[in-house]
Amino acid sequence: METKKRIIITDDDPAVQDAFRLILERAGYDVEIFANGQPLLSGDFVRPDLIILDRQLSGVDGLDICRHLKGEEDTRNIPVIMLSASPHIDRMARAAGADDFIEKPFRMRHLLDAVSRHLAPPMAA
Amino acid sequence: MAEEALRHSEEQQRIVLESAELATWDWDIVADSVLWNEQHYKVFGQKWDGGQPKQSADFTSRVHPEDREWVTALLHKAVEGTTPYLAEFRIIRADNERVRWMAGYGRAISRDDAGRATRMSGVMYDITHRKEIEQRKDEFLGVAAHELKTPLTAMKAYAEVLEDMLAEKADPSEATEVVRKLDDSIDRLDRLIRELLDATRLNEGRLELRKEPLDLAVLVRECVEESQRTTRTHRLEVEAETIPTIYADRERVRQVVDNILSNAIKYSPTGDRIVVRLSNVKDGVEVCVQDFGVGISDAATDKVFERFFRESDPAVKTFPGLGLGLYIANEIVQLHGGRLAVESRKGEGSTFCLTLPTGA
Repeated sequence: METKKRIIITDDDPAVQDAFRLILERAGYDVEIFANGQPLLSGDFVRPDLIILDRQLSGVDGLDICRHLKGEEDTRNIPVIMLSASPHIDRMARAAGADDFIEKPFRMRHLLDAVSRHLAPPMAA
Repeated sequence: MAEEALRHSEEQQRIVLESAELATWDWDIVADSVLWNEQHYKVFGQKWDGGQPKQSADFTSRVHPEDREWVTALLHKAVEGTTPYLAEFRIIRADNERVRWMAGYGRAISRDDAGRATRMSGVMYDITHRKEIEQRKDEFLGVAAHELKTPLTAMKAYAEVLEDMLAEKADPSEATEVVRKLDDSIDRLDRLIRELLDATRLNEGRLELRKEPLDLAVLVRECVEESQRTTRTHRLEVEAETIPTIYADRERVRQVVDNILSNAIKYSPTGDRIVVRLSNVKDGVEVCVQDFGVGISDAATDKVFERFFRESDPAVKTFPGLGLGLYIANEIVQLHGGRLAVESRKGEGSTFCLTLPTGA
């Protein structure tokens, strides 16, 4: 039996956290929620299969967290999907190394498609 | 008699211009010679030189470098064409290098045979204050729109999950749970919008108080009772001296007390006592709410009443909201002639004290 993929979600709003958990657990993923970005910066977390990163986290800029994750040896290959209420940071997110960008509020289908796409195993050459 | 009438008319005009603080300019375009009134020198921060004729460059050189090109172009357009000159632009004052916003208006007084203006007259006045208010409002709207997307995100997610659950014929109790959460989110959004409206009214000086005789002790006990119902892990205690009736806006004061109580609960997440003290102070009555929760850092204590401020310490679990509650509470209290203050120590808790004056 295939082990469930683990996703770390960061968002400082309890309702959004809850909604994420609902959506992703129903889709068959294991979910861990961080209300702030500190553990991601300090490396104090079990490496997941994917990270959903909110742009604004308790005063810490999500872009900085993304750059940090992509700069570290053991986290640079974890796909990062950045989330923001502002549509204009798409380019900045990608420049910071994010693998994808989703604008809030998002369509559930859109999020799930992005997640499964980035979790898919790489195609054989 | 005609001379008398002319002098009278000129005097009247001077009074009108003075009272409106309007700078005037009179431009002989052919000779490029401009006459400024005293007010014109004032707004430019330049010393009155008795009215020496200026060149048009003496004006355009004061215009902010980023605005200079298009303002000059607009002036030329008014000279060549038939439209008046009308512009809002920045200048840099001569005396203190400060940037000020100006509104300028001018119209051709005479034209040559080719239709080109030969003389133009106009006014200029300082609109910096208005511009600052506009900018603050735009900024406010920007932040507000952004912040409202958070509750909308949760709501949309719940709605889509619900749709899915119904399509899959999922367990009704699960679906009902999601509906409840969706409903809660809607209530939260409603509260946020009210906060925004309050903050907007405050911003525009439109928040009006409806004062009436108020038994603060009764109001506080009502608020405490209601707050107690929202938490099973906290114990709210009231210690009250006998305090006189005050004159205040009942609903607005309730809003302030509710806000302080809900913060006390929020920021002591491990549950605990919350002590509410009512006492008499010089010329007023005081309500203090003390929690024994996470406390506020020294740096944040100064800013806690600022608009949109939220504690950014990663160790503090942040809660949703626009960061307007305390800002609004503080404004309401100040409108009453009272004071809202906080004392806090990180890790030990905070005490918020609200003081309202006795007497009308």
